[in-house]
Order: sequence, then C-alpha cells, then structure tokens
Amino acid sequence: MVINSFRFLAFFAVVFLVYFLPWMRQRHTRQNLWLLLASYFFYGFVDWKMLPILLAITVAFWFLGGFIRKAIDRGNAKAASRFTTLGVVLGIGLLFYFKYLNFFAGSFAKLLNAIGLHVSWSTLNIVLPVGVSFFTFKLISYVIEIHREKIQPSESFLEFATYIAFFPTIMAGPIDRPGKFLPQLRQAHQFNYNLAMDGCQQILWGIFTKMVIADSIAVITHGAWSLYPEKTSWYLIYAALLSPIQVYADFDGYSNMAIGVGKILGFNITKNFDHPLLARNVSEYWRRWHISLTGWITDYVFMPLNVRFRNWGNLGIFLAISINLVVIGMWHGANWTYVLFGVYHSLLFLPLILSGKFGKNKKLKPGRWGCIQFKDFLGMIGTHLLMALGHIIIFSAGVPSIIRLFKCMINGDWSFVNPFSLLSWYSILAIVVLLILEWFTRNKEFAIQRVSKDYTSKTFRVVFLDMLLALAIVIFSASANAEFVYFQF
Amino acid sequence: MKRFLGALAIGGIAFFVFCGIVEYFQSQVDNNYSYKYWYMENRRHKVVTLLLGDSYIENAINPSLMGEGAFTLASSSRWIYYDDKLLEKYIADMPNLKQVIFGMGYKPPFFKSYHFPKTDDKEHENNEHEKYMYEKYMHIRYDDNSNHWLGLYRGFIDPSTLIGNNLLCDSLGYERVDGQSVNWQLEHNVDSNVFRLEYAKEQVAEYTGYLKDMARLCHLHKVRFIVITPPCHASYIANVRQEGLDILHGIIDDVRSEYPVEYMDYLQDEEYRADSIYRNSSHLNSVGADMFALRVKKDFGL
Repeated sequence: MVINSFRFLAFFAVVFLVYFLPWMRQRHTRQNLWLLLASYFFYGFVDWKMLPILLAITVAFWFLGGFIRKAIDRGNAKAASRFTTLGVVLGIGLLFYFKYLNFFAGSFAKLLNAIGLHVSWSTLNIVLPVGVSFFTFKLISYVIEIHREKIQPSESFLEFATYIAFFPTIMAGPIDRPGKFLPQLRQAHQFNYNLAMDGCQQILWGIFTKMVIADSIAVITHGAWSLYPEKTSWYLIYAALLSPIQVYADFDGYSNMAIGVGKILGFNITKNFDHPLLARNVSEYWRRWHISLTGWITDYVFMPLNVRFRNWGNLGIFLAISINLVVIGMWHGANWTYVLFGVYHSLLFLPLILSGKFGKNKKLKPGRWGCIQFKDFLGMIGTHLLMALGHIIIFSAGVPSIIRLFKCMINGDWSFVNPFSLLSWYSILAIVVLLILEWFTRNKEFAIQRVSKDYTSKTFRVVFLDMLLALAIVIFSASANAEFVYFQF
Repeated sequence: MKRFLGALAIGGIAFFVFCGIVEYFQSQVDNNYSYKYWYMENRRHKVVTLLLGDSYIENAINPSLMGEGAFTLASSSRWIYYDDKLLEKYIADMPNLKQVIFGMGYKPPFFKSYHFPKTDDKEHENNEHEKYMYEKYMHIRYDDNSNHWLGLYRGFIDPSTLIGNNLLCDSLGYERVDGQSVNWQLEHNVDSNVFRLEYAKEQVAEYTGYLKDMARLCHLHKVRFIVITPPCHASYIANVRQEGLDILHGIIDDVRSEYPVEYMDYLQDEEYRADSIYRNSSHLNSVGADMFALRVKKDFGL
C-alpha cells in the first residue's frame, strides 16, 4: 500500500474520519490507540510476518527507556550507560542482522578464499523488514535522548508504540526525534483547517514531483544502471546528470506526502529536505539533503567523534566527517558501493576543510532581479556534477560495475543523442519548473505552500488550482510507476 | 471540518468531471488503432488480402505492392488473441476477401513480456496497455471482466496525443519505418534476455489454439489462410535456438492436421542478408518491406 495509491487514499479516509470523531477527540489515548491500530494495519498490509518483530522490539525499547531513567534517578550512572549501550547494540544488531549479515559474512568468506583458506558461506534467507532502517534509528535515539536527559521516558506504551509505528513515516521516514514527536501524542488533536489544507497542498506537490518528474526520469536512469553496455555515452551522461534530480523528486515527494498526511492528522513531522539543488558545495548539500538522517548521524556519530578528535586539527575533522559519511553510505545498504559512496563524499570535503571553509556557508542572497548570483550558480552546477558522479557509485550493482560503467561512458559510442528523444516535452518542462521553483520558493517548506499558511480566505481559488494540479498529475504522470527509491533502503 | 470536507468534495467532483472530458477527447483522437477500426467498419467489403499479426508483419510488408484490395490490420506488439477476435468479428461480412496472411515471428510463441496475457506482473505493462488500446479504440475486450478503457486511471494517456495526431500508418494500414535505429544490431541481445523457453508449454498451447481458430474461420468462409515467418538479420538468427524453431514448426503441423494452412518460413532466407534492409535485427525497414511484399506476392501467387 504505497502512499500515492487509491488504496492508501481509501485507508486514510477511514483513519481520518474515525480519528476526528467527537468521541475520539475527547481523549488523546483514544486517538493514539486508533493511530496505533491503523499503523499496525498499514505495516502488516505490506508484510504481516514482520509485525511481531516490530512489536517485540518496541516492547524491548520501551522497557529499556524506563530502566535508564530509573538508573539515573537512583544515581547509578554506570547502569544507565549499560542500558543505553544495550539499546544501541540491540538497534544496531537488528540492522546488522537484517541488512548486513550476509554482506559481511560473504565478504569475509571471499577474503579468506583470496588468501587460500577455502571456506564456504551459504547465504541466509533473511527478509528485510520494511522500514527497518528508519524505525531502528527512532528506537536508538529514544534511549540516547533519555540517557542524555533530554527527554523523559514515555510512561504510556501506547504513546511510545504509536511514535515508532506512525504509519506516514514508518516506511521511509522522515526520522522523527522523540523529543519533538512524543509530546504531540500527549494531547488530543482537534481538527485544524489551515494545517489540513496545508497538508493537502504538500501531498499534492509530493505526488507531482514523484509521479511526473521522478518516474519519468526513472525510465532513463534504470536503463542506464542496468543496461549500460548497450547505451551510448551521451545516454549515460544524461542519466547521471538527471539522477540527482530524480532521487530528490522521488524522496522529497515521498517526504512531502508523509508530512502532509501527518499535518492533516494534526502532527508536525520533521522536515527532510531544504532545497538541496541549491547547495553550492558538498557541505551545504549534506545540510540540505535528508535532514532527518544527517541530523541524527551528526548528533549521535559526528559530534562525539569531533569531540574525541578535537586535538587533531584538520585531520580530526576529516576523520569525523569520513566516518560520518561512511555510516550514512552504509545506512543505505550492504554493498561496497555504499562504502565507496561515503569515502567519495568525504574526499569532497577535503578542499573545504583545508581552505578553512568547512561549516562557513554564507546565506543565499538573490542577485539582480531576484535571480541567483552567478558565483552561487557556478557553485550549484559544480555541486550537481559531483553529486551526479556520486550517483553512479551508489546505483551501480557493485564496484566492478562502477568501473565498467565509466569505461562505457568514456570509450562508448559518442554519437549524439538528442535529450528530447529520451524525455517527453512535458517531463522536461516539469523539470525546468521544479528547478525554477527551487530558487524562488526557497524560503517555503514546499513549492506551492501559501506564504501566509492561511487557507480560510480564497478557498475556492486554492481548490481550483489544486484540481488543475491533480489533473496535470494524472495526465502527465509516467505510465510506469516506479517504486520509491528509498523503499529499498 | 465541514469546510475542509466541502472543499475536498468540490475539488473532487470538478476533478472527475475534467477527467471525463479528457477521456472523451482522448477517445476521439486518431491513431493506428482508431483508423484501422474505422477502415474495417466502413471499407471491409473492399478488402481482398488481409494482413494480420504484430510488428513483424505491420512493418515488414508494404500492402500497396500486394495487389488491389490489400490492407494491413496487423499492429505492433499484438498478442494473437486480438488477431483471432478481429478475424472472427469481420470475416463473415467481407465478401471480397480471398486470403488472410498472418505473420508468425520466431518470438511471439515464447516471448514472456507483452504476449503473456494472464498475469498482472509489472513486467507486462505493455500487455495492459494493449488491452486498453483494443478496448478503447477497437471495442474488443480481453474478456468479459476486462475494464481497461479508463486511460487516465491506468496512466496510459500520452499527453502528446491530446494535442496532436498519433496516426502513423498510411491509408492501407502500413506503418513505414525508414533507416536503422541506433545500436540496431545489439537489440537481439535484449531480445535474447527476455526469451523464456520454459514458458513455451503453456504459451504455445494458447497460441496454437488461437491460430487453429483463425484457420477454422478461414476454412469456414472459404478464404486462403497463409502463415509466414518474416526474415531476420544474421545477428538475430545467431540467437535463434533450434529448440524454438522446432516448436514453431510444430505449431503449424498441429494446425495443419485439422485445417488447411499454407506456410513459408523466411526467417533465415538468404535473400535477406543485407544490413540495409533492416530497421533493427528483427524488423525490416521500408526497403526490406518492399522487397518482402513482392516476394510473398510471387510465392503465393497473389
């Protein structure tokens, strides 16, 4: 049940109507129970066999949170640390088992074989629970935040389980922090017209970027990553250049839909993107891209490492960034390409660190006629090209494929391919519109948001424009709906 | 809440009204399917030679060289089911029809992708599109439960067709393809990837059933039933399996055991070796289509 389907629409209509029944609105526990049931139904609909795992791990972490708090209250810092470590190990262990066990064991067996010790490793048939990378990070942050005394443990299991399984975000984020989300579950939600209308706009914009832009480009990029020996050099170049736009339109589209659904129910969900196509260097890019993940890694990985390496100068910063980015790369999945992706990105930070420009990004200022300043524009183009190279790394099937793909690109058929023959005119138009809106709506949460966020006036106009956008989505959406890119992670 | 639901209702109703308008306009645009339907509805009594099959025939035979009254009802990516249904629909009311020429390529009997109608696998998106085109423009449903005419819902509406003309065939139903596509000799590699001989058993039985029904209809109405396998380039033939050829010829033997069928296999014919007559490794271009039309005409004495 994907979020941009009629099935989800029917599901959500029921959830919404029941959630705001007068009897439900009297108590937040009733609303939370209904949300939890809906979330488990939603999750079970994808794979019901994974529900017990989700439930069991939720129970375990809820108890751990309580134990940590009790240990702190008793002044037993060691016990609190032990429980926290146990939580972190449990969370990482869960990820390791489901995502990385086969990869590491297989790689280790290959290594032993390479040095002459013949071992065999039969791959375990491990099925990856949907959204495990996302909800595990929520669980880990819960225990760490309690240990850091930034939050109180959740007294109600219902509240905690609803936070972990919240259906708009369980599949592919954003990764909400407990400090921001749990308090929202402690009050009954009344219907908020402006917030709901804002959510509808955000969902619509998300569907547009996903179905009209991302899915159209996906046809080209999928062809390039899987059938690159048969593609011309120009085709591969176009695919690489379009890939960052595709993944952004896809993932930002999903995030907008999830945040929009949350808003209709009265929740404020963490922002996931801040116009990454406007990034002028790699450091700025990572502050604008997948914010809920990079923020998580920064708080729990980068900052402690940075403190540890603080006496090592630039080398310390570089080491902390490298580890940070390799972790981000590995978070995406178990493949050496993800490790290489992290290494590649950390190398891109080197010039910034050495020149002392790391972390010193100036605010974007418009130039003449409100347009982008030329210097900033060059920076954006340069960053986009570097990201395009990174996408070749992350989307190749393996390290040898990266080399082969680059060989095909350089030594292949250089006969010119007209880009208009690959994409329809309306897809190209939609991409151009997206790029222009990126700049002109950079201060908004999403492109079609009303500046005042007040939808009580001019409702008819808003509805009419929404209807036109919905029609454009239906007519111009790619016929083949590609799966959300981040579902695989 | 009421205000919100009201806004959604107004927007939703307006949206569906607009969708209905788009669907209506889409059904009025010209394309190969709508033209061929119109021709068969209005001019079928003039047809002497009816060409049926998929792109192997649609692009491979120029009907203007096949004598008076030739018409191509063949269409790209077509599963044999639709050939049978079209023949069944019109043959009884085609007084001048002398022969039906059906193209049986090497691939269709065991090609999984779009010729495998009983699956909802995403891989078979073309098959869904085919159902839509036949239902919307030729008024042939795949089965009684088929409901594919809503192009917007299924995402099959190409916006360029809303404002332009998508009719690519000439007045005799022939879609001319000139020159060669990029990497034309490589395309057989892609083809070989999607061959699934393991599907052959179920697929061939279904294919044979429809071919037999077409032979029966022709026999019933005293019309010659001619089956041909069009030529392919050497790079394609290199991937052809003897096992596949045996199945192909076995289908003809099976049909022949019950109804008269005239068959010629041109797949590896030496006359069609030149690169210049191919659009890609398995399809003739317009030069090849002229050559092949004259050859078929001569071989079958049309």
